[in-house]
Amino acid sequence: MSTPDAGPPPLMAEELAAFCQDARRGRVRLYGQLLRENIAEALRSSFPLFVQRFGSVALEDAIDAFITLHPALRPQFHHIATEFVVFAQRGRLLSPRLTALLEYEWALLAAEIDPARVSPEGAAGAYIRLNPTARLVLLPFDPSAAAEPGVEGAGGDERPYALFRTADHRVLIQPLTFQDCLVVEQIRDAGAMLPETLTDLLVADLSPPDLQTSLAHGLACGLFCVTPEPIGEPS
Amino acid sequence: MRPITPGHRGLGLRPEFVDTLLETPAVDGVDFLEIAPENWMHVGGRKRDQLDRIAGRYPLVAHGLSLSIGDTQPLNTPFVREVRRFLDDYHIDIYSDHLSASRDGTGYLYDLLPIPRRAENLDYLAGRIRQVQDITGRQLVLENISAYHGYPGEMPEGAFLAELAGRCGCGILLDINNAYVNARNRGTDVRAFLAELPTQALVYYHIAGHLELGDGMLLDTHGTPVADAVMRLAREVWATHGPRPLLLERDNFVPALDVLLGDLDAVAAVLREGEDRHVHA
Repeated sequence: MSTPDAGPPPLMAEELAAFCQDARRGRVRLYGQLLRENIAEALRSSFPLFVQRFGSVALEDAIDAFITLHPALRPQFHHIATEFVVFAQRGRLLSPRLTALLEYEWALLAAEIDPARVSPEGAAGAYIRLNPTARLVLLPFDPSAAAEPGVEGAGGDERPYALFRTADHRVLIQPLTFQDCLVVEQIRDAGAMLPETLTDLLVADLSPPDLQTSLAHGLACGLFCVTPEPIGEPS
Repeated sequence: MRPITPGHRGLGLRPEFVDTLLETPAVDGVDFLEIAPENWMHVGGRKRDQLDRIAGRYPLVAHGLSLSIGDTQPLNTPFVREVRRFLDDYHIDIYSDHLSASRDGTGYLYDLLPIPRRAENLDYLAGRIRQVQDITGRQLVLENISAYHGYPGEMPEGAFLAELAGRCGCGILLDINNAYVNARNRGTDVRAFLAELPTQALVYYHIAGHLELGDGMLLDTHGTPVADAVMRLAREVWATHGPRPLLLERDNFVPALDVLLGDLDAVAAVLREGEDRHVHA
């Protein structure tokens, strides 16, 4: 196995560091533009609603600050979206509602490309588990109206939703009732469990018919999957 | 899976035409496909499903964007190991990336930045390339990038690539459009660049379109058909260094697959003339 014999020659390190800084700060005009266009393109494709609501001037400023300041750790271009969310959260760059919109679109993207395999509907198994791509989020807006103008400024309480990918690769957004949340939390914490166990655990909070309704609905829409194993299926 | 051989023609896999490719068992005129491993690693769902089906029909070449072999930070070995797993999973033999830097002390910049091509930097770069080759278990193939910045006192690009390949056994992915764009922008002799390249190190070729700005500067955009001058240069490459697998890059304003195939046919027709010259030379 080869190991690096030594660090980089000092002049190389110095020149490259200076050039990268100049590119970040836009002092090398063409590279400054290229860096900014790459980020803008990634954000437009990953967060179309957020980009639309944020406004072009604010977006340019945010991209400029991202390129100048943010220590991006993930090399893959498709992780630009994740890096930007981290940057926005750390810098408290956005209003709470715009942050929620950004995080919502990130969760959609994350569910869409999550590497976990989703069991097809009708798979055999006695245990119930949470769809491995599921993200549980609190949203201060109705996601079915997220594309409508003003969503970032509208009032309203936060409500729980599950975002997940189905076995046939559709990304669904499911509103959760209080009962659904209880069921989801129990199943998620256990990894996978038998319906009887779930009934026993939730007996004080949910009537068996309510639990059945919640489970049946979750299984039908793909929020829950069945598995033959007690601790989830391998992804 | 069919092997990729000199003269084979390929396309960069784009979401715009994945579905069209999957409509038939194999599209005539596409011998292989090139993918950026970073765009597919740790990705599931529809994209993974598409890649699995594509990999069952076409040989794949991996062309990375994020290795940053030329930066001065410690090599991102966890990332290189992930690339190795991906290459193994999809039985990909050819792994290329760019002779460039994408990272500084702050973090990743998500672009390909030129590095200083000086003789005193060769050992450092060769050591990093050997590290990557050890981890991936494959030759690393490096592309000449289009560069719009230079450093004082640099070696000629062809000589630098040749020296690097000689020291660590890396391969060279000759991007013919980049060679043309750089020579035009720098006012250097592209034929001198080509002549310095070691034929035996050339693994495959890229060809693409560029954009001419108002001031005459050329930008490597991958957004237009291949320019006639680049076609002519490709013919010279073919005549000088011989046939290799050839990949047409189109990443912007991507037309329908049949249009791209037409472009690839046009390039191939021009190259056949160069091949005849190579055979007769």
